[in-house]
Amino acid sequence: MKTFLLLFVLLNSLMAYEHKFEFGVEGMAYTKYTNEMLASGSAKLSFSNDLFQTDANLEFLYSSEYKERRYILLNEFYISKEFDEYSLSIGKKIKYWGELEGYNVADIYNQKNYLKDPFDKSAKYGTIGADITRYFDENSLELGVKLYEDSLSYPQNKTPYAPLPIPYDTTLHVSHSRYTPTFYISANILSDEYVDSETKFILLHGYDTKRDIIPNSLFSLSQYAYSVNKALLLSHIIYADTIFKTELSYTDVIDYEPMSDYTQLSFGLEKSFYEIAKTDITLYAEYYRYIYADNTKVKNVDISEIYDDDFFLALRINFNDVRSSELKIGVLEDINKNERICKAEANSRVFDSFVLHGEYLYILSKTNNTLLTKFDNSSRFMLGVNYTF
Amino acid sequence: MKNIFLLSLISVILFAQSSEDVARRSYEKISGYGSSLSKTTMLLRNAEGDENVRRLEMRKLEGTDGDKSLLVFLYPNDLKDTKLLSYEIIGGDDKQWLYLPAIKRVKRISSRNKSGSFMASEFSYEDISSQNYKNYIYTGEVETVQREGVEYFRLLRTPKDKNSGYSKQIVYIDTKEYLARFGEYYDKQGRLLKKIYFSNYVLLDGIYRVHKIVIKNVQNKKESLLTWDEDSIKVGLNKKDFSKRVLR
Repeated sequence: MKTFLLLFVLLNSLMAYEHKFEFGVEGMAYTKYTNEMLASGSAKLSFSNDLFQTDANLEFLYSSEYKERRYILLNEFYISKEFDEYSLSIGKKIKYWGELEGYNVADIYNQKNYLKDPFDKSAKYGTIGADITRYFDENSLELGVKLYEDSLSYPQNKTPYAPLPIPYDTTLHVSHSRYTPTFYISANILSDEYVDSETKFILLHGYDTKRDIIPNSLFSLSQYAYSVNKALLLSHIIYADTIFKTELSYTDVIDYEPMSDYTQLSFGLEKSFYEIAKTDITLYAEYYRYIYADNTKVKNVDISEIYDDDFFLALRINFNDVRSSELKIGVLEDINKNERICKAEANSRVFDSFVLHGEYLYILSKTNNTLLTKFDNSSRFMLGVNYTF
Repeated sequence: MKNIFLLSLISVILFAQSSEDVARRSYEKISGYGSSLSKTTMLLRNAEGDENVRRLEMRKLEGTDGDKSLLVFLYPNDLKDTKLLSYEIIGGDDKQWLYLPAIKRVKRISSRNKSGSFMASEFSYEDISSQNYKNYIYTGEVETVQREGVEYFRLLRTPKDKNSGYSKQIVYIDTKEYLARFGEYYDKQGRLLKKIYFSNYVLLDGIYRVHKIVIKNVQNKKESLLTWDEDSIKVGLNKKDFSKRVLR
């Protein structure tokens, strides 16, 4: 860490730099777990000179109650270079591959940060890799590689939303080596010839972002990373003021017999209504589905996902006020198992640099042997303030 | 006498200008900048006089079939680095993408929101777009009016876009410089909604650049001021500077 800071100070004296710091304090009240106070923050730094640009994002989280929810992490640190028709980057980076709002089948470049919040899809760990992109007007072709498989921290024991019955060991088991690269090629195509649309195709070969959970002994569980071939398709079509979206994924498991090949489908639409009682209202309706090639094998949805045969309905109200106030309400309904997650979020700016935010989450679990069963019928309430400077 | 009358008639026919002619000439005064790079401050003031500040970097590229623009939010800090990329399509729906830096997401947004508030201000998306005269239908010959001792052309124009928030706009253009000075915008019900004032014109390389726009919503008593802190034209930006790759 000292070396990193020293490097930053040195680079700072040589290059143009920009920063964005964020610090937040939150109170979390749970019905099933001990309440906690959280301090969190991030420092986003960007340096640039004539040769290249360096970006870094340092994050920290401190829980008053749960020791495992305390960390400081250099979540991104990468160097990039822009050419006329190409761009290159190398380092630890977060990418977003997605179209839908509730859950992204295709957002598989990074591992999720379940310690920060298992119900926040934007909570992710940076992945070490490199990529090169060739641009053709509005279209692009990207070749990339992930260079290292990181261990993943999980909520465990008495921390909120611990999904496992016995303690979790962060030791990662892999089918090859942690350094075995994962390659992908991605093509992005923008079209307005027949319909106004954008489509991204991704082919990936290497470790699956999803992992199996296997026993180390009678007393602990660990993750197992296996290799796959994966094909992904992300697309949206705009018709009038409605956006139709899809994310599709097919996974062929190469070298891990217990795990079934699987397909993930998701569809959604987004429709906005403007100037309704001085607010803008956007409605989202989405559906997610897993399909397994072999129902006798391990189903990934049983061990790491809740999004199978689920319908998501949400609305976002933008109040168009000077505080940028916003209210988001969403319900995720498992059609098959009759489980439900409800979430409401609100935020509003005060004194320009402070954002007040609150959230209510409710989990209704009615079935045995699902991931949500572990969380029982429970709810949480959060109120916090963020300072950005 | 007959000859004088005939000459006058010919002069009137020859020199009478339609509203569209005046609008085109006015547009020509502010066009030809190629590309521009500006830093602006937006002041939002509510009916009680409370004020909020927004800061933006604006990049623009002129195009014959519509301009392209990239807005980079600089302040408030929580919005910093949020980017809005817009392709104006004359006679069609514009295209817009929003870059959300917190989750590194490029999100396509529906561009039919012409009348929606821009950054919670009294400016709508159509108020801050290019003001290309081709986006409007002009009615009849131009009328000349006097306001506080100054002569203006009074233009009545109707937005072609059916998603516009306005039923009509009356724009006043000074008869000397052919620059828009103020206007009145009417809502879909035909009631006066906003008054707009253009001032602090600066001549850069032969092209007039407005450096202050004030818009007052007469219905909710709020007003917004957009001022240009820095402005450069013909800065050499090209199509690539407005492609989706800039959203990162």
